[in-house]
Amino acid sequence: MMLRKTTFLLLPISVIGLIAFTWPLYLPESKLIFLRGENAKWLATFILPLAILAFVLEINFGSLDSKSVALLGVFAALICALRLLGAGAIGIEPIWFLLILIGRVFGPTFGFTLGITAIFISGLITGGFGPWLAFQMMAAGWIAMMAGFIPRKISGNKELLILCIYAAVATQAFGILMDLQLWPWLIGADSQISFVASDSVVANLHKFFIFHFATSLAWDIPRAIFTIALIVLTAKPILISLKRAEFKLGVKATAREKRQMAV
Amino acid sequence: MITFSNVSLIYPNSQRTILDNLTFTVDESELILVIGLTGAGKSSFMKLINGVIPHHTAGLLSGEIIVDGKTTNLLKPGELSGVIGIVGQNPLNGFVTSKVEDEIAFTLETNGFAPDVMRKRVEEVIDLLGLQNLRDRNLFTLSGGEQQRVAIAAALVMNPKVLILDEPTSALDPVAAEEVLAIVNKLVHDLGLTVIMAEHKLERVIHFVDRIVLVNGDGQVEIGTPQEIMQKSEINPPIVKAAKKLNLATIPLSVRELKRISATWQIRKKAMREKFIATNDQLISVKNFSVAIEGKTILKSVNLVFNSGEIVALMGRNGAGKSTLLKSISGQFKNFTGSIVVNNRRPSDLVGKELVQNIGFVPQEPSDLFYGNTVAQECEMVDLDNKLTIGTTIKTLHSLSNQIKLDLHPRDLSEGQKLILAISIVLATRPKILILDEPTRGLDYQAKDILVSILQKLAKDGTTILMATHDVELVAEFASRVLVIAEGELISDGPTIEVLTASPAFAPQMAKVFSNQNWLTVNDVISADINFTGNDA
Amino acid sequence: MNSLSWWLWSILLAAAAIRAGTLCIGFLLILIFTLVVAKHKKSDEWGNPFKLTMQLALAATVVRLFFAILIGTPLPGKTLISLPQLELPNWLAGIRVGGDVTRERLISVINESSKFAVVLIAFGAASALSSPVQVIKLISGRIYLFGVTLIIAVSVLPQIVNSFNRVQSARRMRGLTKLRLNNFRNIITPVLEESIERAIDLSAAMESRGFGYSKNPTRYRPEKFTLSDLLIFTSSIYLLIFTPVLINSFGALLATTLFGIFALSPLFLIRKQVVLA
Repeated sequence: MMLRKTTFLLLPISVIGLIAFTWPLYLPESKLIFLRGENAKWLATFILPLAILAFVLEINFGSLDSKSVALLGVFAALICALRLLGAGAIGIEPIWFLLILIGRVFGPTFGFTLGITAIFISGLITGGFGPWLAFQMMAAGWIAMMAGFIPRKISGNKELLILCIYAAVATQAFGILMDLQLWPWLIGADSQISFVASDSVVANLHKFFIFHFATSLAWDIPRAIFTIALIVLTAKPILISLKRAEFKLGVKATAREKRQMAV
Repeated sequence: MITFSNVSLIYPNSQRTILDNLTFTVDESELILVIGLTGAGKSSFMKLINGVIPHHTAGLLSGEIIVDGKTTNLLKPGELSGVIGIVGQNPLNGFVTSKVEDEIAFTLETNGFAPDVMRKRVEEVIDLLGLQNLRDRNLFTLSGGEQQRVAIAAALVMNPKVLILDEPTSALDPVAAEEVLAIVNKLVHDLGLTVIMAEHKLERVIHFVDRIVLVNGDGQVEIGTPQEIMQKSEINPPIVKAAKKLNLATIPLSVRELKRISATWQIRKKAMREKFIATNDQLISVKNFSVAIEGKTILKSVNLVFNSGEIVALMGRNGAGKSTLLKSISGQFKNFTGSIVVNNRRPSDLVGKELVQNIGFVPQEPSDLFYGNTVAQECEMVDLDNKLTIGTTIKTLHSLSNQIKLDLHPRDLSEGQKLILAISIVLATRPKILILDEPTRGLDYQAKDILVSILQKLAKDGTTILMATHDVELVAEFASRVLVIAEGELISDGPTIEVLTASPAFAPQMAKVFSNQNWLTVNDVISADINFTGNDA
Repeated sequence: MNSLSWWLWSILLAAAAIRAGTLCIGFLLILIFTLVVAKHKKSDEWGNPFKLTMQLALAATVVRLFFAILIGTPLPGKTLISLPQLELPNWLAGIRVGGDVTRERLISVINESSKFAVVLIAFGAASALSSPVQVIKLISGRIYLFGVTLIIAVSVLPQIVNSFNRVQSARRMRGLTKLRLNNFRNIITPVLEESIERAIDLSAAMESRGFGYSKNPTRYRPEKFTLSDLLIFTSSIYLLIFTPVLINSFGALLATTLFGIFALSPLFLIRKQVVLA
């Protein structure tokens, strides 16, 4: 079972992903045509799905079994349903809290896989394909993955507090990442707040944060508040359900229990 | 074919022994029926055969199980998929794809069969199970019986030697159940499969099985012929119950057997059935009610009146429109033409407190109501939600049953217990009308008896009860009036005794045996004064 | 027609439009996509993906225009509108909001946005024209286990939506009507529990059927490639390759017409499908 199993490629493709997100900040002037300014965004858009594909190949031929396949499929459908229903009813997507909680219980690898699967499925279903899809997949994967690194031992109110802090940080990070990705596409290379290839990281960051400022107010802060609220309200029962599920899916009886049996 | 040697099974973290040192053999081409109260361990017993326990679901197993020469200790369930096919209690949950043909083919695809072999096998199995007209249908839109057949097809396509069916007919109406059981018979007699089947509704199957395995729940398992087990066990279909109460020498297993035994009997005096007197207080009126979904007529011009205090059973095949009618009366479903008036209000106008004081609705899936972590918490939340004094719901629960442990998670309860909890939740606000949508799925006889006594008590207290069900025996026990819906129309509406004796499809076993006596239940039969010629009674 | 063909057709046409770089071709393509989707789209169970992408594309264009007009770097040329100028302080990078909006600026933005819009609409059209399950089977190929995960997600989705509806219904019957944030947990918990039960049953069933044991799972019905697929694919490729030639040699109007005719090939699909593979 994929529970808490780490994979070899998770780190390298995360690094590639990070570069694919943040290249506008430090892209150097280049003679190569596909690294020049605007064209780099196409390059990033092609490289990211390949990185994700590499990860999928690794887990497909390594960690996946009937339990993880069934759980991933069902959870991905659940998150997709939340997205559809939420967008329809209230205009916001109540999915981040669930990704965080599932990642926390089932571990980084499972969480990352769930993130990319859920976003891919909802893109497939709603037709919302665009250059952003692979980036959204990776970012969602990261949100679930990082939650998986919270130590298992922590529980009770301390757990809840850490989850809330994490939610605040993660949703902000998501906003920043998606804006970084969108920046070259929406603004292009010829605006006063566009990235400039040869500029310093600081100068580019400055321009970026001006771009990001507006969207942050409109989307990131409500998203953070909404997610934290949902975690506060639902963490307890959901964590109980998820931990029960983990228990029910366990296979091997411990040695102690085997000895009890023989008595 | 299957050998159990000294098999014991305990679940980790549990005190209960499911099986204790069981040794027995299943022969080739035998049809075995597994019975036992809900939660006794029938499913666990069957899951041992193909190794789901202990390889997939945790379980502490000692002893050995050998199927067709292969021992399950060493083999994973997947490796036995060519020998054993298994269909779980809820076939829809086991489906991977969304189309019938894709689903059947999935088993073969996943095992790496060549495409031409796959085509051949899929066609054979579709023919065998009569699925030709359904092959392009979406699995989610199929009826329960059709889904069951597709699940069986998906297992049979591997040409297994053993087929394991966990409660295949529990959610099906009598006609669909007949179809599935006919297929089981065909598989055993024509194809020589060994079939192991768990069932609650023994009246449907008991006369054609070879042996019965009775799982007691305390680790003990009784195995024998139907005659032997029926004698030993309390779990009896109506015919056996009547026969035992009348102290008959041989236990009949079917309507035919009891009919032959009773042919020479003389009925001296019939017991009077308590006459049900309805009030004149009209509570619900349904006028010219019609429902059409996507051009198809579900219900046409239904006219009904319910008076307060009535106990009404709504019968008909699955998909006939029973749920739609009940959901419209309770205000959940609004897409109909015609009018429905409940206690002088339109049901869709009723919300919140008014709604729960008028109508209590127990859904088909009682778990839909649950969102607590323990039974106690669930009850407390009902009190809070409805602004009742804390403890009201628990009191209601205890008045219905004192067997339910308050610290269990609601979803860990047995089917019967879930139903009782759901009824308690819904009754806490003392509604005038109680509506139950198909409550009998997965219930054993004991749970059904409890349900009947609960309903009778409620009726005595003045609650009007509407229940959709296709369980004729249950209806015979408790209903005062029966409605039958077929082909979109209300084809029968009258006192129970009239409707149930009018057609063979809806006659309970006692009515079928004693066709002219207007008897419906075992009680009717045993409380009569009968002269058994040649038998001192 | 094959889902793969629809996707290739859409992507190739979009690529051709980007190569052409003119606004006419961009608009033409949007029109073509709309026509083809209207004729060939499969039933929409999940809403209309094409409509959604059209709205998205429009929104993206508007946003881009907004940013360009307000804070774009001005391109020299004929001034169309003169907005009041506002110099932002240094900590906001000294951006000049407003100022002269030149015609060249506007045209450049519209050209850029149209490329982006065409790509979006191409993807939306492809989604509307192909079935998710077919697409999953096509792309998962040898990645069998993960492919099944995707198929399960798509198949189980309607059941989960149904769960939500049932739970909502049950809540209403319990007298709880207000959907407040507070009550969200009482909706998500039963649905989550049911989903977990489903996953457990599903994995036991899959395991019993032999899932994950064979090293070489096979395909029941490999995708068929027909003559139509081949012809459409070829015409799209030619279009892509010869676009610059078209534009330069024949003039805008003629080029546009020829382009349109080629691109519209899916509207004239051959009735009798000749299966190639």
